[in-house]
Amino acid sequence: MIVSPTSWLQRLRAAFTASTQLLAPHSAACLICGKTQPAARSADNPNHPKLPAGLRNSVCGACLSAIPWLTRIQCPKCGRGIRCDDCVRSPHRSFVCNRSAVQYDPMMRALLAQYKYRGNEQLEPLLGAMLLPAFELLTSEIAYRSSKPAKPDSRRKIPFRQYWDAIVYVPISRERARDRGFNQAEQLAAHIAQRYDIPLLDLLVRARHTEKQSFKTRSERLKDTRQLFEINPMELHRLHKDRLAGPNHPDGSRGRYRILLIDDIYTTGSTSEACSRTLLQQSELPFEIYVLTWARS
Amino acid sequence: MKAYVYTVKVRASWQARVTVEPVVDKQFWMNGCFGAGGRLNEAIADCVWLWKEALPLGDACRAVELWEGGSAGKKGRWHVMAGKKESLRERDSVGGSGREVSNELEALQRLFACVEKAKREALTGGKSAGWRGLFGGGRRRPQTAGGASLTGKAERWGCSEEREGGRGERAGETERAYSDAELAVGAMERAYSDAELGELSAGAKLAAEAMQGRALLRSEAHALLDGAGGPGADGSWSGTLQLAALLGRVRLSGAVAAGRGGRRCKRCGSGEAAMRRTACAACGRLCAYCAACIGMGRSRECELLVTGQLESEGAGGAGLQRSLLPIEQRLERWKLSPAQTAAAAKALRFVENRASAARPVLPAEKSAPPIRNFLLWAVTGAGKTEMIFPLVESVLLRGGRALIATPRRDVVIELDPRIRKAFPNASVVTLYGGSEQRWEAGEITLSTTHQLLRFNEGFDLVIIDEIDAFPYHGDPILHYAADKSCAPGAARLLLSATPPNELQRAARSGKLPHAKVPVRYHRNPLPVPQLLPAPAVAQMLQKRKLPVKLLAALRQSLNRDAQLFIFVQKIVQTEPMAALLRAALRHSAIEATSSQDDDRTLKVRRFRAREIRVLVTTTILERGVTIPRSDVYILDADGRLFDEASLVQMAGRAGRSADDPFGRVYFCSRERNRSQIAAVRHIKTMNRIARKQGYLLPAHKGGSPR
Repeated sequence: MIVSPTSWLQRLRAAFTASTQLLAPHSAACLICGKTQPAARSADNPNHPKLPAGLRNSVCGACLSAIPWLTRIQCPKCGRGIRCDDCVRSPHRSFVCNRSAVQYDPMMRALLAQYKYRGNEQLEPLLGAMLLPAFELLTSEIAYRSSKPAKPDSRRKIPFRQYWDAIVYVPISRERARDRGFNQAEQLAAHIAQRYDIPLLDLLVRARHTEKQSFKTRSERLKDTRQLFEINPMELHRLHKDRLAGPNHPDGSRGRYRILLIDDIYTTGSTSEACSRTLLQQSELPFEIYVLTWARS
Repeated sequence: MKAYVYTVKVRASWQARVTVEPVVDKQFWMNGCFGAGGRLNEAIADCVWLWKEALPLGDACRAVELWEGGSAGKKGRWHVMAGKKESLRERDSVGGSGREVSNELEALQRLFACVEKAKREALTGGKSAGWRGLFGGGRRRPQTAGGASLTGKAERWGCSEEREGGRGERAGETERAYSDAELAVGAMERAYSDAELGELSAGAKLAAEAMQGRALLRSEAHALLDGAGGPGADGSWSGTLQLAALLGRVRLSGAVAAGRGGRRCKRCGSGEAAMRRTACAACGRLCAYCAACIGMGRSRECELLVTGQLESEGAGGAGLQRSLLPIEQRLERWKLSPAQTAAAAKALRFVENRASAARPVLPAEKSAPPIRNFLLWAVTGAGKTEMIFPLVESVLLRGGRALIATPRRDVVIELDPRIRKAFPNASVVTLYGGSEQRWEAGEITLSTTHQLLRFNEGFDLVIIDEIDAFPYHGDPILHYAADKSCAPGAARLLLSATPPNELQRAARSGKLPHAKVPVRYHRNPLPVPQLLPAPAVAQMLQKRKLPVKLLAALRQSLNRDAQLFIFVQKIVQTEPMAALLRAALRHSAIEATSSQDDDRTLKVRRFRAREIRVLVTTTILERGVTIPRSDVYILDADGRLFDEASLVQMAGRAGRSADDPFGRVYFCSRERNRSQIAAVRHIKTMNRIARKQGYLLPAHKGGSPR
């Protein structure tokens, strides 16, 4: 490969910028409340030893303990913290289950609005980091279920990447992309994909532009999401090829494609359902789809 | 978003332009008529070359800037030279109408050079295109700058007859390219019907009016236009805005633009330090957004910033000038105190000075005259609001627009009814985060300083209240916004009881015109603070005990039926202190509030209604709250957070009303520090000046009220 001096210089420069960013001191302000609280921010916060460092470093102690983590799950299907009528009403979903990182309370709503609607993309690493515990929990759940002898507490040793064939995300329409400038689900998905070295696929495309979900009522949402998505055949092909070249699952589930679908928020589950159904119906591959969302409302 | 660039030949000269809706430009330059709107463009273009590739808005604007600067750099010029060589060859091959073609080609090549340079700059972050150009630029250019390949990348709009005439003479490659381009025109074109054109021009007129004095992001501009109720249906505003831009009534640009020293947010003025670069799905490249003003909507490189342009100044102001009554006569109406009248007259003379002197010069000079600042230094309770009424009136009489900006939302809301009462016939717009009147325009605008970001050269008189207060003081963004909102040559009035040192110095040295109001409207001297030795608040809370002297003073205040302000340094101390006071004074109407208290407005209202007798608070209530009969206790007065200005302001809460002009003020602390001494000196100086100038009521000529 011939490399021109220009691109070399460009790379050098990029590397330099990246390294200076690493060296720079962490911005002092808490990303959630905006206050500078150096004392409260000490990394050895005893309450949250398991939280990713990215989270502990960018959020003050008060905000950190105010995050409504969804650790107690009542509905095994949709990952809700309370008993769930939706899943009783429509028990047959195209995905295996959903897990969410946090409860969608007013504080989380404000945080997501800051990021998604205000466009404060500095929050992306924070929201991405918040997804990690839920992701690890979901993966170990799968590991535990598929391989009986393993003990549930051996979570640390799970080779996360081997349990997933690909990470996909809920797409946004071209109009929305032009408006917002980024796809929040894609950014979150990329965060996890990068962290665990799992292929990130642009597997779904939005067939048409719809009004914002948040402006619609429940029944409108359920109706509106039918035939909204299509499969991107190029990426599907890539998935197939990767799989042939890649290693087997440790749980021996050869043949099935385990896919993680990422979205920012799970409300009625209709978006996740529509995406999953599209994946199942429009491709020949045997998919096993799990959904991971940032918040469960 | 993305935009297009083109070069157009009008009246024998070439210029470059950006467009977000090429079809509108085509109609404008090639036809000029807009249905019922009539002929909007007299100067029909000879020829236009549109660069077919949609560019990130920032790049497109930069390309045009490069063209206009004529400084596509040394490299750029070199490209043109290279182009010339190329075009010479072209001319040989086509013969005949060579001259015309070579000119067009040259223009196109220059456009190409500018586009390429803009793109390269975007890659390098716009900083050092120089050395990079040496490596990246030079080598590949000559091959791609060929005339034929260029004409394929661009689209030509020309007057049809000219094209007919030319076609026969052209031959070979060039002609093929032309016809390709014409095909593309057809594909791209979304022809407007006459009715649509009429709507478009009506919309553009409306947009021009509505956008005047504003600087809005695309989505904000759309919301404004939706509110203005124009003919534009959903999504057609870009055409409307583009036409308004062609007519010179708005300017369209990227909200973050490259300049010397990197990117800069054109809305809030923040530089490279506030820029965050992210991959952008709207323009398809790495694109910077401004993190500093993100609370007001995201300003980014490829986001459209629509700026209203001033209509060419008519005779308006000067003509009305003569009919104004003499200043003294106009001031009578407002029933001001002698000190207020003197200061208002001085300010009024300053404000109107420009109208007679500076205005006629304005059209001749192109450079905008500087903002003229005037400091109104008025003690707490001097009646600043009443003093600004005559100034606002003066501007309204001359057909101008006035803006009153204060740092805080509470004050804006409080001011609103007073202004409306004083000017019942004027249209008043009140702006703050979440205001209903966000997109309305009026003769008088009342606003928080943050909202000024959305204005551009909008006001002939700008009044900024509490210039030394948070968040205006020390925030470069708000200062930038306050500068930007002034129309050329506007007068700006800075109000404060405690101006920052640099302004005091400028005023003293005569650099800053100013007026001092050393006395309150009720013409009694300011209460002079008494120093009261007391332990630190933390200690009081720990021991759950108040010092005897403090307790005695508090009891006295309650007995004389006063409302008590208790100021502490920290928010966390407010509630415990209130509890301690409740116990020590055996009084239940004692509450605490702070910036983090959701019920603050309610508590202040109850305090005013005397349902709460003692209010423990922080500096959040140091300004803007007027409680008739009140005493002030400042605990930990030697604390770090209470500087001279803050102490003077808090002391200014006492003795506000004519009924009870001698409120009591106590500085409670372990030690007397510089801030306390300076604050006391400040207050005493003001009282002395007032006495010397004869503003005090005769009864108190002798000295201290006590």
